[in-house]
Amino acid sequence: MTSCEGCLFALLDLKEKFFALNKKVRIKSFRLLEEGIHMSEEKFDIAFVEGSPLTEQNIEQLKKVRKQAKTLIAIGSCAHIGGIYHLKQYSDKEKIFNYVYSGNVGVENFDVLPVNKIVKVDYFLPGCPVNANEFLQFIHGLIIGKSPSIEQNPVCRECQIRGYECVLQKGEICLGPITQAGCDAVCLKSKQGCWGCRGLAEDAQIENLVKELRKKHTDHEIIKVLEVFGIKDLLN
Amino acid sequence: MKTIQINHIAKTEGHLSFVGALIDGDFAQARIETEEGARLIEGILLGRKYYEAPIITSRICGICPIVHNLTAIKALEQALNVRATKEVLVLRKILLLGQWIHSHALHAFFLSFPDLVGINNNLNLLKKYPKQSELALQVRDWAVEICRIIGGRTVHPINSVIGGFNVEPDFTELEKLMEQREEILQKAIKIFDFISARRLPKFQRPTNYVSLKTKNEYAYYDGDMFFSDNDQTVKVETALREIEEIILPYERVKRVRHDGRAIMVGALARINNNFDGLNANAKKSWEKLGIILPCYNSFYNIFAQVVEIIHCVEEIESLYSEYQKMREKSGFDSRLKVNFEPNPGKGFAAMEAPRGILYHEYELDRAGNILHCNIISPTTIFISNLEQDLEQLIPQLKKLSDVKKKVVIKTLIRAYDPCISCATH
Repeated sequence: MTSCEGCLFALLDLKEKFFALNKKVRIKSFRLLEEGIHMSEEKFDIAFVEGSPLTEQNIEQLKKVRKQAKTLIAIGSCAHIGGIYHLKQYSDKEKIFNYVYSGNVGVENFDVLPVNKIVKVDYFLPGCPVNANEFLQFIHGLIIGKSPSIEQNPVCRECQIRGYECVLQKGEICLGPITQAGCDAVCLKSKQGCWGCRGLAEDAQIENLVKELRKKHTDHEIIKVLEVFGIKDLLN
Repeated sequence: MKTIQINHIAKTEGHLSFVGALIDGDFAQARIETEEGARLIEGILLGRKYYEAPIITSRICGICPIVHNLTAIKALEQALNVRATKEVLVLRKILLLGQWIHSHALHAFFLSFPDLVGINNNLNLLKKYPKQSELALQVRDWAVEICRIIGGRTVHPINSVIGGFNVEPDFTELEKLMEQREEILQKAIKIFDFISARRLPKFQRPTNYVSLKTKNEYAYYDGDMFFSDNDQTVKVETALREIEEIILPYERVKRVRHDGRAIMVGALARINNNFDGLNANAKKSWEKLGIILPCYNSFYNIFAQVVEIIHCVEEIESLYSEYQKMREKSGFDSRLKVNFEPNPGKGFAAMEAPRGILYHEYELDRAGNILHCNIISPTTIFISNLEQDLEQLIPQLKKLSDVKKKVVIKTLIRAYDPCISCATH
């Protein structure tokens, strides 16, 4: 759907491992690789969807793919929790539309929704972009008939295991304690605090983190970071 | 009137369709339509913190996130009065060239080259040309690794921030990768020789090629804007005043006109305008084509990209030796990032993305909140030029069957390497 397609490139960057997949499963349609069967009537065992449904055509295609596929997997934070473009929801969407398009007619300005608000989703593979190795493990799990699942740990744990410096202790905003792991704490490797692109971890201790962050940051600053990938919407 | 419609053109970055009509044999109309939704990136940045912009704008495009990240950073550094150190600039330049190589290698070999040999599915390309595909993948992987080591990740950089880099790129990894550069250069030359042995469709249309220009190098990180039609170099801010972004009803992609006319940016524009700045092997490769510049055949953008891959590998070689020397000097670590405080200001930056000039501008308030943002991407700039090329091409194809016509039309569209995600930001 509408996206930066970074998740597709993250998969292509698996290189030979991606093409080796073709031995185990039949890749029926991948628009970066081939032409012709973009909107076919075929049935699929598994369909992966990425991006945000932001046009009539995106929504129509999403519903169609749901009917065609036995298993539908939403990949990337756009499809999973709304992602970056979901930031629109925290502003006056008419106002920002007019800022960009000067009141142009005929261009959709839909709410930016995660995929499960429109169709039933069987599994989610989170991340911005998706972790390609996790994608591979997930597919191998499906092939051997395991019900695949994402490991439920906070990013903090992966960060500590790797011995990266704690940016939270340094006084920066980091959502590592409440965010679902599986990213190898890649942002922390570059000393960038986690902004939660993979969504909330199970049993996330949100209050504890907020209490800690309030020591050094205003609520406004904390909320801004919670908004970036849509974590704010997952809090009750 | 005969209409030609091609829906959902695959193997491009982002989704697009083509609608064309041959009106009376010699006169045609052509239009590129985006199928990407409006994401309103400039709008969602309003009221957000300055440091979010390089992270958020890299999500405009998954194939060229680095150049969005770097252009945002450069514009914001101007707004914030931050002067990046020489060390930072060298690393940024290597990162940007890594971005060019992997974007070009994917496009030229895997998206456009199959059009020249009549292959629809890349899995068949791998079967038919396993050795050459392997070479192209190796060159691309090498560049992807550069981006991972310096940027912190292959897609959407993390380590590259306003002021410089958060951490020093792992030197052991970088050094190991750089040992392969001569080998990668030879592979890139082989790919050029292989791809450029194919015949491209005949086509000529005098075009205004626009690119950055600097005295000392084949411009990519900075420079003024050069216009080939009147042979003039003007300051970016002056050129931008003459550039008009046109919004049409029912169109999510804006179109750009300069002085009321279409302009062309990207690899072919750069080679036409800055040929003298190319490195030796890149020059030698282009010269094998025996074409007198300027080259007005837009299909040659494919070959131009491969020449640029060669140039970039050579350029990285000299940047890297400069970097090695800098690294040995004392205080190197402290020069990887400049500290600063937010302040009100305006900033803009133009950089050469793989597909041509990319422009970002920002205005910040005292607390570092974004008050204004505008982004003009290369595809937005060249889409009118592509449509005009198609309008000239379609009448030339009238003797061909509908199927063959569509093949040539798609070949030209893909030769431009449109990035519809960038264009519909």
